Amino acid sequence: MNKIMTHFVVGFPTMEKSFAAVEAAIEGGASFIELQFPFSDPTADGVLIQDACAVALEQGFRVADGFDFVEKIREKYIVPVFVMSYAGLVFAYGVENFVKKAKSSGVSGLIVPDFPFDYDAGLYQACRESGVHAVAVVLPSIEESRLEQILSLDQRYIYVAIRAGITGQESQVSGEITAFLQKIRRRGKFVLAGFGISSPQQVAALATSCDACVVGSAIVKRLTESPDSLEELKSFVKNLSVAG
Amino acid sequence: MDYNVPNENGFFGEYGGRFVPPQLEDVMKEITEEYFKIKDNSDFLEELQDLYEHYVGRPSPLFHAKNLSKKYGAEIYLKREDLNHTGAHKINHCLGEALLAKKMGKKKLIAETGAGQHGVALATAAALVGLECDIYMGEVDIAKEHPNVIRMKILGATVVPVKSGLKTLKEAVDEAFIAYLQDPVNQFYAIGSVVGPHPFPLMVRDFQSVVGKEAKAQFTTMTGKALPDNIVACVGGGSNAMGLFTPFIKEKNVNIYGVEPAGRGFKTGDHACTLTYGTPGVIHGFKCYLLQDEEGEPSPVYSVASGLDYPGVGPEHSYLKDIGRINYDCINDKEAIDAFFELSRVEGIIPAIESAHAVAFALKLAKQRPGESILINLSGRGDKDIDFVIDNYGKDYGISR
Ligand SMILES: Cc1ncc(COP(=O)(O)O)c(C=O)c1O
Repeated sequence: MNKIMTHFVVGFPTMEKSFAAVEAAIEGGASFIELQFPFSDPTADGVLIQDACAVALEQGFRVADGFDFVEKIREKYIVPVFVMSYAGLVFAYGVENFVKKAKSSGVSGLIVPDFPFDYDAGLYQACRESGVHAVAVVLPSIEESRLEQILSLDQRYIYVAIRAGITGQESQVSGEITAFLQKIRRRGKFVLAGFGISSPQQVAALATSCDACVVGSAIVKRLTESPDSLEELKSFVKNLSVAG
Repeated sequence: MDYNVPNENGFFGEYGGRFVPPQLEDVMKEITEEYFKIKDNSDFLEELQDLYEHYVGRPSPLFHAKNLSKKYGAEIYLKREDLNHTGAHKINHCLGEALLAKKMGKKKLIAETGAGQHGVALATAAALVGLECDIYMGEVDIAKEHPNVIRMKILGATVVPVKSGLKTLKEAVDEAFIAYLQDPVNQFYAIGSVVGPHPFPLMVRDFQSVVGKEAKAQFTTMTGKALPDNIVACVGGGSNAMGLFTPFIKEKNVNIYGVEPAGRGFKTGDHACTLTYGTPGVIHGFKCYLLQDEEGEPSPVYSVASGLDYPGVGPEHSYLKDIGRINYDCINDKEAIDAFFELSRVEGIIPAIESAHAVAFALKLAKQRPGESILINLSGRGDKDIDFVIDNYGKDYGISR
């Protein structure tokens, strides 16, 4: 079985529907849930996720709702939940408070792509203190010396965006990418590979090189096009998890 | 006074920095390194100097506005950035950024624009150095600043209409960032003010500081006095203001005033007085005063001046506010339009509506400080604004098409 991390925008298409979608994914065999707290300036996202964030915000998403959402999942399931958002939102909440609130809501890790470890406004330290994973995002094109710095952080997870650009376009899984993933894995890191993954073929090609595949835009796309087809979502996740 | 910012990480006190996703980390570092390599390089400086002189028409004059001085009681001086090629101060940093991009082997310049002045200046620089150019502009601003849209197109740039949100400057920056993320290797995001991730606030300030350097020398030559008593500039992102202010910051006898747009009132959504009403936050890759809600969402902003309605502001301005070195004040739409006509009719100079905010403030200040000298950065000319002004305000001043 492949480990799949499914990515959702909290509150998209509605609060209720995003919760039902998370449940469908868990039933389909998702090993990790990544929840994006919507922000109006989703810097690293493509149009699909940007639009999903806009919809959730229009309906009045608040950060407090996001943490409630996590709690509700954690009350029902033992699946690890990672929260993903952007610097502006986390900063406004107060970085330390955000991490503490995440911890008390049952969040396992935080992914804030525009808080890299050397411009993190205290995120990594707060995570260390609270026992929440701070997940660095890296690209295969990263400079060797910078990668070394990230690998030597005392953090277990690393998120590899398997190509440059933004979310939402299909990625090719090349030998270079699998080699890069393996290199990081050999250093004892838990490797999450994502960006443009939507097919069982891609998952199969990545399966032996990473610890989990992240599926984001493909899920948001399904929820955009047919928000009520939860059985299909469930079997979509299932097919990914058994691919190979 | 000890003043030496930013630090090597791009922080002005707690503001600034580089809060970017990993897609942009490497390229921001590369731009920083390349900029530091060329910034004091004599070939680069000569090339820039030469363009400033023969292409832009620098030094721009300092003009003693005697009619206004007589009428308002203080000695008023205008730094005529409106006379630059392309009609505003923006060309100063656009040429610098375009030369840098060319040296780095980039193929395309991209940027946002509000009033269209930065877009026109960048399209001009792109044409000159031989780079492609895409300009992102909100649909509201496209309608309002039509002449500049046409100029950009004639210059060979592609104007990309931005339809999201309020369809103005903030959304244009969002879109330009997203486009940049798609291909940071071949594109160079020449941001339009002293905002964005490190090194942009530093780099744009450095290129703009030619304004203050010239003004300081010109003032002394013209008056025999070492320094003006007061200097004034409008603040959108804050580039023309940093340009004028930088050489004067250490001169503690000079009072410095930054003027923000109070729009049509002080309710959220009616103004863009970021430094006056904002709180520290993160937007577009840097920390600054920000008009935002409790969750960090940038608030809607408005000003009659398209170049001023941005919810953030340069990190250095944020720092200068905190240390109390600069006074930030606000001028509303009505006061700005009055000043637009006043300068036009008393001195025969039609200012950009952005710059008219600085003029309006200076005229108020003049009444409070009779006999003192006031040097205003007249950051741009008003050609771009004439249609908008006559349609919306003409009848208040007894004119029509
Ligand atoms: C003439 C003029 N002045 C001022 C501004 C505001 O920008 P900044 O605050 O960066 O000088 C603009 C922006 O478009 C402008 O066109």
